[in-house]
Amino acid sequence: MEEKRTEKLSEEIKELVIERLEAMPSDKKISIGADGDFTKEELIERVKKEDNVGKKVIQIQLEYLRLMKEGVFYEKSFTDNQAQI
Amino acid sequence: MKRALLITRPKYDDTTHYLFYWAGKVKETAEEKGVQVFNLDKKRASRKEVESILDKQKPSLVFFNGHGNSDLITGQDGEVIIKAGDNEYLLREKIVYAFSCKSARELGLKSVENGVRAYLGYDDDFIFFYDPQKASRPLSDEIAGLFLEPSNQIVVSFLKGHSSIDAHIKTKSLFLRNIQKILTSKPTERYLIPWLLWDMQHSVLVGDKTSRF
Repeated sequence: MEEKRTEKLSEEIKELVIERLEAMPSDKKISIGADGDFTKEELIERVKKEDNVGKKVIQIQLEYLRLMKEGVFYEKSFTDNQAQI
Repeated sequence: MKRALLITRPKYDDTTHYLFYWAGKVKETAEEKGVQVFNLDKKRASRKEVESILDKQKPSLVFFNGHGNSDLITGQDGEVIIKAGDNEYLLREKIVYAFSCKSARELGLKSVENGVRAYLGYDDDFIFFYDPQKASRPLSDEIAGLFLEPSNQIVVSFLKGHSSIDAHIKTKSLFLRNIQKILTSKPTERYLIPWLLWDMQHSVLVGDKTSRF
């Protein structure tokens, strides 16, 4: 039962991320370090497959939504607090 | 230690092609400021050449461009040029900015443990967008510039005499400025925000915050 719920949540998250990726223009490319360069369509395919690139994309989009909810972009002191030593 | 800058600029795929040109702008800035520059581009971005310059010329600032991983940085055609536990001791007493994925995670930490003054870089993948139609003129690619300009600001800040912490904060501020600009006046580019935010979050500084070039 718990497993099914997690699976459903994971599918819903994937759908949400794909929906967000659909907003990207098709004529641009994204460079993801040593993993290579991808078009929008290739990125969506990776998310569907949930390979390493797909998992990273999901992580980035979820992190963004979390920070957006916190209103982080409008906090002037945000960058000052980010200095990591 | 010589007040000089070593830059590696490999060029063999789309990513390094863009980094090559954008780092070229930083090189020009350094030259305009009268800084001695050791520019290792394309095939010269090799382990042999890097080791030779680090050992013999002892530049006080090192700017790596290229692919990487948590414990290493590569040069032309993916050749490993610096690796933790292998030859990172050559970076001792220098300030390092590695525009390279993940290397701050392990190589950065080990380098500082072994005497690097400050190591600035990324603790995860650096991600950027670009317009393939502008690939023949990467400096005119405004989309790529939103990512590459803030990241290269680190070296520009050092050239202006700022400290490591100032360089680090300035870079993050520029990422944030670009995000805010998109939010307020470029609605069609909002898809870029999660990725800009990611790069901003994963830009890190290890070592002496007060160190200067």
